[in-house]
Amino acid sequence: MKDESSDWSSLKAEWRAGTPEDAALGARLRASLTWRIWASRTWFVSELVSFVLLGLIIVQKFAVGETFVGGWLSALAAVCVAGFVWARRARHIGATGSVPGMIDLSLGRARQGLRIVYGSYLVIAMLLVLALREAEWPLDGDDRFLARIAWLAMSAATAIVYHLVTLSRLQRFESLQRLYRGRQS
Amino acid sequence: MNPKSEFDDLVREHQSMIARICASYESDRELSRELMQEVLFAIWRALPAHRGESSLKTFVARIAQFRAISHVAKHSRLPVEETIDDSLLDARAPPDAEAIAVEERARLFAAVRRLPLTYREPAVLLLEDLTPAEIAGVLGITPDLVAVRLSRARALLRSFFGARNEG
Repeated sequence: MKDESSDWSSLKAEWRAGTPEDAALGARLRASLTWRIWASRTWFVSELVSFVLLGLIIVQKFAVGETFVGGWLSALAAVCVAGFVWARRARHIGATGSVPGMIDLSLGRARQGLRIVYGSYLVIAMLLVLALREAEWPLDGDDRFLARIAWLAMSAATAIVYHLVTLSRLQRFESLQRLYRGRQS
Repeated sequence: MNPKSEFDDLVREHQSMIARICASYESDRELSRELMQEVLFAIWRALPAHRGESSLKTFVARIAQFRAISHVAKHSRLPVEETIDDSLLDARAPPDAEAIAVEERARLFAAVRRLPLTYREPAVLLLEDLTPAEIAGVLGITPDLVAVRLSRARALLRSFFGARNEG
């Protein structure tokens, strides 16, 4: 046992004698991280601004008596706010007690993410029905309808991309969870 | 303390450990840097939630470990056989004793990367000077199991070095 601990001591000394990268790497990475941190903050602010704009549109819809559309948009805003709050809670993953705990939490979040995607598909489908219901037929020159369809197509494309990313995350964390569960003894 | 300065201090203090943990899971230099940036970003995000239940070093090591295995799983390279990674050898190789030390260190990293994940995790954390109790906490296993895995890791490392010396 003593031999083993002295083995580890000499390995530790060798291991920690230097890093495989040059000393300036940390400073360079820290600098590039600054951009990422600001991008994250900018995204956060843009999400808040979007909610304010969405709120103003909802108020305007109710003010002009379009209560049906206002109601739909309120439901959409509620889903988006829930998703926003949920996404912001992701940072707590890092503070979870152990690596298996982090895997379990990530897996749980990936499953919730999938449910959010399915919810998004439902909201998009409902908005499509609403857009079709309010369209002025024939569609010649109905720019409002075309704008709505373009926006819905963009939302659907985003949801599909997020769906694929989430599925990939789910598979990855499921394989890690199996790996960890298989060697807990 | 200002969160920005707390994060900067933490990066300064632990960047070597993060770099070593990343290098013990990723031999490609560019991917290792990418992984290191992922780890730093994850630490930045998680830092406000750190309540001091564990030391900052353990907190950083845990996040680095999680990101590293997640990175390895993403690239579908769970545990792989490694040869010595030349990128770990400084291109501007210093002479004599120092050159030998650099080469030995590169061999150690390559040997650690050859360990199956089960043994690599506790070995890397021990090499980073975490106690067996801290390693048990990070990996969610008992200290006894940590001791068993470390013993096997050491035996494997010996056999790797032995085989290399014989070769």
